[in-house]
Amino acid sequence: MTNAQDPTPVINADDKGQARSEALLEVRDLNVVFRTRSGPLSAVSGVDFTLAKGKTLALVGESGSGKSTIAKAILGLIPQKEGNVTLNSEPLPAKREQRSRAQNSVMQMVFQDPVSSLNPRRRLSDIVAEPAAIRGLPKVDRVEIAERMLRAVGLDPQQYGRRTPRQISGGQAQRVAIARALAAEPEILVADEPVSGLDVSVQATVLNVLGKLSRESGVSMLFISHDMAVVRAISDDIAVLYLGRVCETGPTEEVIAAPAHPYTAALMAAVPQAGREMSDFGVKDVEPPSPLSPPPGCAFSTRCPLATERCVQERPVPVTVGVNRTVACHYPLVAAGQAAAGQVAAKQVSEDV
Amino acid sequence: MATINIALPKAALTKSKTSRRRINTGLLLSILWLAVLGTLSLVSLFWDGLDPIKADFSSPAAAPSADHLFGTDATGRDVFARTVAGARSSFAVAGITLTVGLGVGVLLGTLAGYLGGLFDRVIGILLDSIIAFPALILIMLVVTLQGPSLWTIGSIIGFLTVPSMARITRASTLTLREREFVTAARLLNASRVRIMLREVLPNVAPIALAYGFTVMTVSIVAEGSLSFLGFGLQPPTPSWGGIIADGRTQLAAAPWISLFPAITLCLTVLALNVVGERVKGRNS
Amino acid sequence: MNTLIDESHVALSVLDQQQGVSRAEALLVSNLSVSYDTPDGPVYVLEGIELSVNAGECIGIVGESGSGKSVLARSILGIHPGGNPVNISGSIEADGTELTSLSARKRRDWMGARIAMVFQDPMTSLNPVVRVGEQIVESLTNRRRLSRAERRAEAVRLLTAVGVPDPDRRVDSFPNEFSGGMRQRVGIAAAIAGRPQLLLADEPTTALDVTVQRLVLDLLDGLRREHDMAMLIVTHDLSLLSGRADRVAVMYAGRIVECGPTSALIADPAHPYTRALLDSAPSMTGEVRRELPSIPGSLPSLSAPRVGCPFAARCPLATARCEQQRPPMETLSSGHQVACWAVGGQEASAVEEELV
Repeated sequence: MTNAQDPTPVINADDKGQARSEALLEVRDLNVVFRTRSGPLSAVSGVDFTLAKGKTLALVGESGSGKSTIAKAILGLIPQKEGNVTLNSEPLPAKREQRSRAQNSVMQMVFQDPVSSLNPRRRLSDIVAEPAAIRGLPKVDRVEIAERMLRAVGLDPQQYGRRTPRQISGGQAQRVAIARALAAEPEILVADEPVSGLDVSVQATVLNVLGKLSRESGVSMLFISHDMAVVRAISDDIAVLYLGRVCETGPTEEVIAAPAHPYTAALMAAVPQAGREMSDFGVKDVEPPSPLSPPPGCAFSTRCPLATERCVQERPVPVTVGVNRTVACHYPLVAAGQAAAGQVAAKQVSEDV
Repeated sequence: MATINIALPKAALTKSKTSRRRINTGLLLSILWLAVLGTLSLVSLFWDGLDPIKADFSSPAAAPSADHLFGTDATGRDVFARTVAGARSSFAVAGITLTVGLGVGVLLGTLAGYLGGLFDRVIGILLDSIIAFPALILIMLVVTLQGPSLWTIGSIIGFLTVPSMARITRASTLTLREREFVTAARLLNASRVRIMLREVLPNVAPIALAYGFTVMTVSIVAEGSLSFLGFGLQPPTPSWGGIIADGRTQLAAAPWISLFPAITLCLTVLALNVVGERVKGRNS
Repeated sequence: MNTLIDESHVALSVLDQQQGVSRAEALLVSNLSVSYDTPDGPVYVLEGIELSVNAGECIGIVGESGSGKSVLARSILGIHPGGNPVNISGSIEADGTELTSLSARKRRDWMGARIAMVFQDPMTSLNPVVRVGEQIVESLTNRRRLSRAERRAEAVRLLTAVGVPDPDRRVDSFPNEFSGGMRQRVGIAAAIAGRPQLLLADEPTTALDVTVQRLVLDLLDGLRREHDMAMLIVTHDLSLLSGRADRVAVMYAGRIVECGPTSALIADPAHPYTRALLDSAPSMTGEVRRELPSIPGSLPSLSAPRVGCPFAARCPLATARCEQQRPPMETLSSGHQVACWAVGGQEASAVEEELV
């Protein structure tokens, strides 16, 4: 709901230089295996990442990367098979039934399909007041919370409160879903492709709402997406996933300024940008490997333009490049020294503006 | 993704009036028919002008006239009054059937669909055994043991519709359970009961209700058939099936005795189906 | 590769060899309006669409949901899903034949052979229980009597052409045995089997992964050049057409609000809607903006014909005139046209400055 002609402020460059903030959610060696008719399917293998308090971490990947499975495992919607997940330094059990009530309400979710995420038979004000109703708050408080939350996402409660989900647009529905999630006062908001089903003009509104709320309420966000441009607009840190494994992690602006993993580079190159020819870095024109039989070496080796025999044979382990960056690649596009240079370049870019 | 807001300004409405009216004629007639029949059967409770048992011995088996709209039967009872009273029985039985079928069916179906696991399997086996048991034998057995009252017949037909009702609600519950708004409610720590009552049931109920119209037609036809065969409501309680059976022996001489209640039954079933289709269409 | 839409420029150079009839445009849509009579009242989805596609040219149709872009593509094919009564006025002409008045049987002969479609989700356009080889050559077997071996050979050839690896084996696979990208290639193979002169692609890559999207777009590009097909790409993403389409038409609420050569339109968008659309997309370069510019308000109701400019209620430049009078298409520069009172025609330059 912004004016199209407003000058747009820039994220403060100093944010990036500061020491890493406190870890809120730590995921170590997460594995999820599904049993299927064609055998076991490793949807997530040995995934590590950390979500810092008040920050937004983007899980980036395409279909089959395991990004949504990771979210569901963390939320306890599917029991994860192995791995350590700690929340505020306390271990988080796999199943929701084993978690405390507080642990269960600390994370809320925004889904890809806003229409499906709202009960078509309920009024918007009731939907947004539901978290308060579940906590057993009296009616006066419920009404107050619903109005405040609807306003926070830019919807007038008088105008929209009595409507049903069928009487609003997809973008408005997504904002209602965000309002409902925030009414539960979560510490972590998991947003699973929250804008990929929306029109471009609406997408901007929803991204603005999410960005504003995360800045103002201090909620941490796990933002799942396949779109590097969207990720760049909203996240502080990034974890790139391919076939259930982490390829690269690091501060978003640094990773985008100088991607270390060829897959990250390919993802960036794949984002179409108006008025610019697509950059040359792509993937090999072959079918992506089946998650049922992943390549033995690097998962990306079958499609990587830089792959060698070593990549096919030997699985790369994540190594540190620069500060706060890791990459799982035998031939990273930036070496340790270059990563630091990339960091400088990124800083330069933000300082220039 | 944006939903197109289809508000209807006046100008737009008038333009498509012709097509809209055509759609509504059948529905309108159906509702009218059910309303008239319902009102008459209520009135007949208090007004002895529509007494189904009062016999006019002076004119047995009289043809339809101004005095007796549908004629009279062999003992001089007014067929119109009897048909209206038959509607009363049919609606009563249909109502009981609906309550039993909808109540038990929706409860079992929603629980089986949402809880799944062992409960789902046990319910599934129970429903299958109801279907496997020969319905006619079951009805005759119960009617013989309990006596052919409105309640017995309504309940037993209702009991027999439970499996299909439960299956329909179970199927829609299964799809609803996967919808994100149910997941969202789980993440908000809503209890199972709350999710069932607030999220699942309001979405299952309209589907079940639409199917309820089919259940009512089944019930009316079943009750008619049972009474025709002599296993349904017993005289002097008037029932469409019974009246049709009474007129059977005089079909050639006085066809109106069977014909009018038969036509009424057909039209009622048709009207219920039309209304049911509309309700179904609204939900999809 | 830019072909001008200036009608005088269109030479009658391309001759349809089979028909012996000259053709200027592969497709000419003029004053096309479409409305549906739904149970909830009429919906006016298209209003006075003018569009021409020259032989061998690639046109992009850009619009968001409710813009009518898919209805336009489907109207060309004569498909109107939903079962609601359809009112069509205006004309759709291809190769000198009026398509709107074509009988169902004639239309079937036309489709596949001259106009073919690539759908958004090939899973819905492919039959899941029929081997892909059979489906690919389906449009051929209706016309030519081919032996089983010939059909198979043709299917293998087409699969090779669309870059499906191991075509000899995959020709006997079922659609669900393919990944999303490969399935779309099968859909493309089926579409080009009849050597159409015009290929309609309705959001051909929206269901695909981004890295695959690019490969499929490149494939479509290559096939178009190779077979000298005209192509109409319908998409919600204007940036996708950059460097691929010769011309772009931007649709909003059932109307074309701007059209022109792709590079000119993207470099110098005239219509406030086009500007907002380009502006609101997050970028991979430049500063990270804390707030993306978004378009306030929502699409106007389609239940009545739009009075004036459909974008007026959301437009920063709207005046009373915009709400009352429909802006005509005005030419800005060669081939670049816009329907806007504020920026069209002579007034353009003045407002242009104001906007900057």
